[in-house]
Amino acid sequence: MTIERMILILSWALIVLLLWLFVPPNKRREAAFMFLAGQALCWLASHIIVELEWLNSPIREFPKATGTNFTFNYALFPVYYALYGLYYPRRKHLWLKMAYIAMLPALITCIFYWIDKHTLLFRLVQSAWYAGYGLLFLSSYAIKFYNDWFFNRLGKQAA
Amino acid sequence: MNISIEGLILTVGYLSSIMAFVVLLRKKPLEAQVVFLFHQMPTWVMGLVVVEAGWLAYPVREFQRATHASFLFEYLSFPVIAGYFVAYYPNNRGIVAKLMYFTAITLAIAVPEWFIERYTQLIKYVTWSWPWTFISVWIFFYVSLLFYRWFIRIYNPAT
Repeated sequence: MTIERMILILSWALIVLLLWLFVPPNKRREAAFMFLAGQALCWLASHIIVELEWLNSPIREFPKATGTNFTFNYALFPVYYALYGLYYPRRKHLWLKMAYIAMLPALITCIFYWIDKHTLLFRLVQSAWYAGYGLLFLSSYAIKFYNDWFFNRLGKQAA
Repeated sequence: MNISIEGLILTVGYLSSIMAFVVLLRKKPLEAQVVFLFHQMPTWVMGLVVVEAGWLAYPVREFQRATHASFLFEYLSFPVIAGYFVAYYPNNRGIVAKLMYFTAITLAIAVPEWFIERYTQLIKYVTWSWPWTFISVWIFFYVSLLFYRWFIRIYNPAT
């Protein structure tokens, strides 16, 4: 059992656990929406980044079919986007919002920095870490914004 | 400039898919967004599995390293068609009308794909044949229909 295999299996277990424990029943559709939007984003972004050779995944689940890591892009990042949007401090002080917006992507970036250094799942070009953080920063908020906009419109339409 | 039929089909495919999506977004925004995003989930996995298992091949494609599958079809075209499928599904008609609708739209994908497989290098059936396309497309449409119905249930009980 290599560390890569362990991390991949743990990722799936974590995904199921996080979704089960941290998505309240009344927020299932919002979580699903952000999950799916995150998937669409990750799919496109990961393919472009791998094609440009800024990232490569020496060990991956579908070695012949793709150059990207499947688990992270299909499920792990989308779960992050969903939880980010669900737990965004909507009615709190601005400073708390700014801390949330800055810190959560930073946390994920650190986790993936560790994965980059200690496994063969994920190898980012050295200069791209700040860009990666920036991308995560912007995309997390964008997906949360899109979700709020969508359900706002949906609520008005149904009313 | 050397214009190949594959390049032509890809370009026309991208443009028409994007335009079709924009049109659907304006007419039926709900179905367009929800079904488009959800439908990417099965198509992504299916695309990877068929290439990894060696059933299909995509010799000429947009991404060389990032994926060995067709990005246009799985990310854009198929989900957009699924959006139209769900948006115009004859909910209030009988089972015969519904079966005819299913068959018609499924053939609208399977038949062009057969021609593209035969006359271009965009797709190659290795151990695949058109009935598999027919069955998988049918199933994916049905699953997306069910997902949309679940998603919309609490906002529009009439569906």
